[in-house]
Parts: sequence; structure tokens; C-alpha cells
Amino acid sequence: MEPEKKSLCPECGNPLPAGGEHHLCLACLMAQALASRTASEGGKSCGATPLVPPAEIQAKFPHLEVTECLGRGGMGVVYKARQRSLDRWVAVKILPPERVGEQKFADRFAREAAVLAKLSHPNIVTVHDFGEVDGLFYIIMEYVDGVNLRDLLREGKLEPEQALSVVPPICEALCYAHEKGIVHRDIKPENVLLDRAGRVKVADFGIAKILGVNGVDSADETGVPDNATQSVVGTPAYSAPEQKSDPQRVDNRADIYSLGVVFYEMLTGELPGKPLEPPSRKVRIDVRLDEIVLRALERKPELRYQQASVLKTQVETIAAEMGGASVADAATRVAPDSSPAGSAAVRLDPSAAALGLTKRRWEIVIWGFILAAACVEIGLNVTPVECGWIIGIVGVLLFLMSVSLTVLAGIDVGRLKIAAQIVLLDGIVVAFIGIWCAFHSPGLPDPWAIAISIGCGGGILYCLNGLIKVGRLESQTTDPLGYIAFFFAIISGIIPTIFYWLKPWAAPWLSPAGQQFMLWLTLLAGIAAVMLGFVARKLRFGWQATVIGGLNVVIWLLFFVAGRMSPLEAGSLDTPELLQDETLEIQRDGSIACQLKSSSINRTGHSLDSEQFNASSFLQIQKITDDQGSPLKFDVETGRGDLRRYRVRLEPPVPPMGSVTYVSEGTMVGLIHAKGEPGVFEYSMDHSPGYDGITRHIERHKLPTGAQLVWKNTTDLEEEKVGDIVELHIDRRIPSHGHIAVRYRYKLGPAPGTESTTSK
Amino acid sequence: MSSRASTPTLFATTRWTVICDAARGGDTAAVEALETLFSTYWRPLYRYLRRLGRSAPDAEDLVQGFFAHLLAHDGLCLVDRAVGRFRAFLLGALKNYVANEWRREHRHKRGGFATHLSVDWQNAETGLRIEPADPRTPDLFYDLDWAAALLDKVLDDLAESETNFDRWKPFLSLGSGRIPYAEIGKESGMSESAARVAVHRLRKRFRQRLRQEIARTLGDGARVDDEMRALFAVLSA
Repeated sequence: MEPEKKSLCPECGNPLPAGGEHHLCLACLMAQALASRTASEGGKSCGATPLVPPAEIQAKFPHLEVTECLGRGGMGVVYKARQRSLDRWVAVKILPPERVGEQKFADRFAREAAVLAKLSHPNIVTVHDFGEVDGLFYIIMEYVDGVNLRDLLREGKLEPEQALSVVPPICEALCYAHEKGIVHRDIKPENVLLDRAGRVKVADFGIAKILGVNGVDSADETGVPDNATQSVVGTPAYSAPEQKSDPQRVDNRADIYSLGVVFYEMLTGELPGKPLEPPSRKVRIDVRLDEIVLRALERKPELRYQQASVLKTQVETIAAEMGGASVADAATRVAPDSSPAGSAAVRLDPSAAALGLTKRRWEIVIWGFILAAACVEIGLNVTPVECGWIIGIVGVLLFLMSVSLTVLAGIDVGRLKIAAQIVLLDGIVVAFIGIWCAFHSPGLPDPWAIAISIGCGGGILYCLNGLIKVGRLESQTTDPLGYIAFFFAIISGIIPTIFYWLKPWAAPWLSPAGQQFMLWLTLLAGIAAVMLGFVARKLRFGWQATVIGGLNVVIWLLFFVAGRMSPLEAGSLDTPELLQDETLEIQRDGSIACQLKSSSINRTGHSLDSEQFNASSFLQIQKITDDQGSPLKFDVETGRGDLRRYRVRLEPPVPPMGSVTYVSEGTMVGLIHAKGEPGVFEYSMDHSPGYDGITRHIERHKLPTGAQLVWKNTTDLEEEKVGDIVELHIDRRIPSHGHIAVRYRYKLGPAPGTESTTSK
Repeated sequence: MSSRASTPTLFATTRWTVICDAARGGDTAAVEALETLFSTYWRPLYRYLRRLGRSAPDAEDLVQGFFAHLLAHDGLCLVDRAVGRFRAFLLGALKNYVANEWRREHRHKRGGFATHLSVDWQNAETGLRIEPADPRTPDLFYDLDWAAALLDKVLDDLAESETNFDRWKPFLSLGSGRIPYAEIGKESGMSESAARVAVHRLRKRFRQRLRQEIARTLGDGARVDDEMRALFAVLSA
């Protein structure tokens, strides 16, 4: 009796009963049988009241050996039988007699069954035969030796990998049938069979239509829906909203909805509730699955996947990413010995899997890149005055783009999301430019400052608008960590981009401390992007943020380590020798030039020509400060002084390009930066506050044709004739400052003998 | 699967009350079917008698006699079709029979019965001797033996119809949370999901067969769940 004592039941731990040849714990055996089958199902089982006794069925099918009843549902009773002639197992479905009494049933049955019999797909249960015997309508089908999805689900949810391997074959089956114009109408776990090899087969295609469930067909044939058909609602939990509200317009998208419900149930073990909770809230799964499931479950058919194949591709992409080899392995091994078509059905697309990016995400990245590049380009080439216009135009364009995308997106929720993301992205860009301009152009006349403020504020609003839209669209899946990481990645890229590319222009107006701050901010943003992105790598944008942020950090380090002039130092000339030979000279184009000896050029690798303070204006240098902003002694004329690092601070701050400020008593003494077409110059003039007449009466002045422009260098006050003034008008005034912007055109080339008459 | 096999399989789902009706009408096929049914469930009766203190040969005689009595006399008339359970009916009828038989014990001769069951008496002795004194009544043990006989029958049937049954059998009594599908799959050279399907398929077959078998022993098939729960209560007591 010793061995018997040793064998304990692994489930309950009690000794196994003596004598039983099966060595199983009988209590646990019974418990399992009880536990996994609910009472409600007992009614459906054939053990209860078979619709028609097997003996009777046997009598009606002499060519079959009916062996047992497999199950009973709303769609009829299924018997297992052996087809003597072909020596194969088949399943015989007897349609419920109460439904068969309907008008025109026989016609519909014959017509639909003939269509169904033409379906031949490895993932669809084949219909062998159909017909009627003594008022019993039957369909003889392929017998699938296995379980249905309901049996698997009875014990709760499936593993995500398993759910992911079940969905694509269902999609294949649906896709195939949909192409033939056949809608299943009753996709549910009971109709998804898995055979002993794990192959997935969809059963009962179109039976719902034959039976006129939901009034389908019977309504359009008789005009009035039958009471009998109305009373049967198919499987409400799995049917799409339009199947209840508008059964005649049901199309393939109803199947996609039902598949969505099945998918949801596989992942969570529960049916989708109201309000619909994304699966990832209930179980730990990839949030991208939320997106797929929720899209399949859209109440409006237009917002769902339009084709089962699209759903399939997305599921397979995620499956490949998630499990890598294991899922692919499971998927291919599910059907080890199926036909070539069968194995093709579960083959994954390796390229899509390797890329791991859906088309949509690429679109967003590309859009973001194009826009960022465009903005940088614009920023490089325009004057701050025009920034307001640029921002306005960009804003309008972006607005139109997002609106048109949103309109287009009426049929596609995917595009809607892209639109919202573009809005968000561009809101950030526009706001950034706006803020930047506002901060770096303090000398702007008020209207421009206002315009820029409006543009900037609009950008922020735009950005908020985008955030709200994206948030709303993604509200089911909001885990913003991926987005935040991506935002940091963008910051880490944009800051050095702007400060590197724009440094000749930007740097002089940003204090060294500010530059330092920006530099470290870049590094911190990059590191934050890498870390957050890694944490959120399974979330949307997560791993992209890691990659981009990581690249930015690496680039930053390269720059830093190589001792190259980082964006920070733009505008500072870091050479003691420089000073000895340096003379600041105000050029004719209004810029201030430093002349250097070649040694100092070699030292820094910078030609000062490119470091010219591209002030684009004629200015009086009033103050020279060091890094900390304290004044330094520096003789402009001799170029001598005691500073090592210097910084030329132009005061008053540099006005917008294309204008000039000067101090005089109503006499125009300077210009100017030639830009645009040759011969057209722009500048502004400053009148003495004491000169009341001018500040009060600002008008447009047209210079008489032929008037000569005299250019005066402030340092030596030497006059030089430049050309003939063709036109002059004074178009701005700011009374509080007494500033007047004057524009004029003049003809290039000295016109001998004619004096300037540009005053007042 | 010969053509002969199909007939009993069909009958396997037929309830005993129906068989009894047919047997009463003199249908020989029905008598055969009843005999098959009885051969599954004679053991609990035998063990019941042994527990009452009957000697092995006596118990053997009594069970044989009881079965013959059922067929020969109007024993089957006692069947209450509406509420009957084969389990309760057999025990009641046996008690009745034993009481009567006690009175005319000496008038019968061993082996004098027309129908002789050919069964393995020896196997039915298992466990009888070693069971310790137990406050539980022989009636309770009868139910326990009944449940064991029922489950054995179902498992035997499955062993016959399922290939590789011994490999998968252990998982029938395990909660699905304890089943290492991945491991099984690896051992059997199939994917995890295929292993899962295999286990569930067998469980499903088992449940089907069990319910069918229970349904056979009930007058009303709708009460399968009640009977299952009752047997479970007995087994887990």
C-alpha cells in the first residue's frame, strides 16, 4: 500500500483513491467538470433535450453514421457524423425548425447556402452539402476536431500572444469572404473553432442571414420584418450597433466590429462595457492594441477599419514586435501541416515588423521635420519685422492644412489623429518662433511687437488646441509619457539647431548666461528624452524619443569634446591677440567689421568676416561689455583695451534689418544695408526729440528724383555721395520715442554735382 | 468503428428510463443495453453488500440474482420516470430484493439464474479490506462507489476513443491555472496554443461524455447539473 500513499493529487493534495486504474483524484475531476461548465450551458448541451433525437436524425441520413450531438445554439443543433462513402467525419447542422417556418425560407436557404458552399478557405469551415429532408433543413460541414474560442475563454482571458495569433487567421477568413460579398453577421467566440493543431477556423458563415436574424433579408423581401425574426437578436453583445438600428445596411464592417468584441474579450476576459474602457486599463498589454481594438469597436462604421486586412496587418506588426520569435513561431507552428495557402495565412511580413513603424508615425515624423526645416530656413532669411507676417502666413497655412486634413478625416480616424498631431507640432513651432522673435527684437516698433505677440499667442493657442485634440482622440489610451519624452527629444534638437544656425543673428542678443542656460537645457532635454523614452519604450513615441534624444546627446558631446565653438559662443571672439590688431569699422552696408590678422583667424578657425556683427545698420557703438555685461574700456578707434573676451553691445538695440537709426538734427546722415534688389535701400531715422516739427508732422516725403544720398560715417563724419534718391517716405512714427522710420529708394551710383536734399 | 459500434453509441445517449420501457416490452436489444448499463454500475452494489457484512460469494450471488430479478420479474415497473435516478433506484431495488431474498435464501441455489453477469469480482474487492472503521454509512459509500464507477466508465470510454489519452489524462483533474502549457507543448513538440487547445479539447470531450453518462442514469436530462453537484458533494465529503 506504500505506493498509493505516495501518490497525492497535485490539485488538492489528498491521496489518490485506491484501486482506480486511472490514478486521478475523482473529486478534482468532478470539480473541473463542474467548474468549467456553467449551468446555463447545461441547457444547451445535448444531454438535455435534443431538438430531434439522434436516432431520428440517423433515420433521415442513411448515408451518415450519426454518432453524437456536439452542441446546440440559437442557430440549430450540430451532430457529429461519419460519412460512410468518403469515410470522413462531418458535422451536420440542423437548422431550428421554428425558424424554418418563415416565409420564403426555403428560397433564401437555397440561395445563401449555394453561395456559402463556394467559400473555400483554410480558415473557414467548409460546407460540404446542404438540403432539406422532411422539413428539416440541414447543412453538412467539415468536422473540426477541437474546441471553440468560447471553451478557451471560459477560464478567463487568453495570453496576449495567443490572442494575437488567433486574430489574423480570422481576418484572413473575413477578408476572403468579404471579397466575395459575404458578411458573416454573427462573429462570436462560439463560431471561432480551433482544431487539434491549433488552426483557426471560422464557422457558420452567413447562417445568420439564412435564418434572417435581425430581420436581415426577411425584411427586404417581405417589406415588413417578421415577428419571428425580430424576436431573435442573434448575439447582442457581439453585434455592431448598426445591426440593431439599421440591419439592412449591414456590411463587412459589422464583422469587424464583432471581431473587435471578440478581440477585446480575448485580451481582457470581459465584454466591452459602457463606457468603453481600453483593454490596457484592465490588463497589462501593449497600448497599441488599445488603438486597434478601439478602432474596431468604433460605433460608426466609417470610423472603423474598412478592411479586415488592415486590422490583420496591424495586429501582426505588434505581434512581431512583442514576441519576436516566440509569437512568429507560435503563429507558424499553429498550422504546421496546412496547405500552402494556410501557411501564407499566418506568415508575418518581416519588413513591416523590422521597421516597427506604422506609416502614420512616419508621416508625423516627416511632417515635423519638413516644418522644422522650413521654419529654420525662414528664420535665416527674413528680418524680424517680417517674422510677424511669416508667423501669420505659416499659421494660416498650417491652419488650412489641419482643417483640410480634419475634413478628410471624417472618413478616417487615423487621418484625424495625424491632423491633430500636426496641429500640436506646429503649434509648438509657431509659438517657439513667436517667443523667440519677441525676446530678441526689443527694438521693434510697437505694431510689429504686437503682431509678433499675436502670432506667438496664436501659436500657443494652436498648440493647446492640438494637445486637446490629440488628447481627446487618444483619451482612451492616454499615457502621455511617450509624448513627453518625444517633446524633450524635439527640444534637445531644436535648441542647438536654432542657436547654431541662427547664431550670427541670435547670439548678440542673448546674454552669455542665457546661452549657457540654453546649452545645458539642450543636454538635459536630450538626457530626459532618452530616459523617459526608455521607460515609455512600449508606448507611443517612446522609443523614437530615446533614439532622437540619444542622437542629440551624442552630437552635443561631440561638439563639446571637440572643442568646437558651440552654439553658445557665437558672437564672442575669444582671443587676446585679436584685440591688438582689431579695428572695428562701420561698413557701408551698416555692419560693423573687425579686421583681423591672419594668425588670429587661424587660431579660432573663424573668419571674422563671418563673425561680423551683422547688424545691418549703421550704428554708433555706445557700450562695450564683457561676458557679465559690465562695461569695458575699449577704444573703437584704436582697438585697444584690456579685455580678453569681448562682446559688442549695440545700443540702442539693433533695429530690424532694412532700417537704420541715427541721431541727428533732422539731417539724414547714414545708411544702410543693401538687401534685396540692387538700388533699393531702407533705413529709419531718428530725429532729435527737440525737433518738434518733425515728430508732429510726419508725412511721406517723396524725394525729388535725382536727389543725392549722402552717407556719413559717424566716426569721421566724412561725407560720401552714394547715389540719387528716387523716392522717400516716412512711414512710421513712435511719438514717445521720437523715432521715425524712413524709407527711400535711390539710384545706385554717384550722381556728380547733386547735393542731398533729404532733410526733414 | 464498425457499423455495429454505431448502434450502441447512439444508445449511449439514451436514458435508462427509456431503455427500461423498451426492455419491459421485450425488446432484446434493450435488454442488452440495460445489461451494458448494469455492468457499469454493479460494482457499487456489490461493495454495498460487502459492507453490510455479506461474504464475497454471497454478495456475488445477490448482485447476480438482483439483476436477473430486475429483468425477469416486474422490477422495472418500479421505475418512476419523472424523478428517477438510476443510482437511487438501483439501491432501493437492491435493498428491497435483499430483504425478500433473505426470506427465501435457502430456497435458492447458487448459479441457478438464467442471466449470469461475467464480471471481474476480484477487482471489486479492492480497498474493502483496508478501509478503516468509518462512521459513514454504507449508503454513503455506495454513492461514493457509484461516482467512482461513473468516472471510471467515462475515462475508459475516452481512453478507447482518444489517441494518446494517457499523456493528456492528468490534466483533466487540474485547474487550468496549474497547467504548464508551454512546458507540455515543448515536451510534445507542439506550440503552446496547440497544447492549450489539446487540453481544452480533451476537457470538453470529458465533460460531454460525463454529462452524457450522467444523463443516462437520470429520468430527466435537465437535472444533470444537480446530479453532478450531488456526486461532487459525495466525492469531496
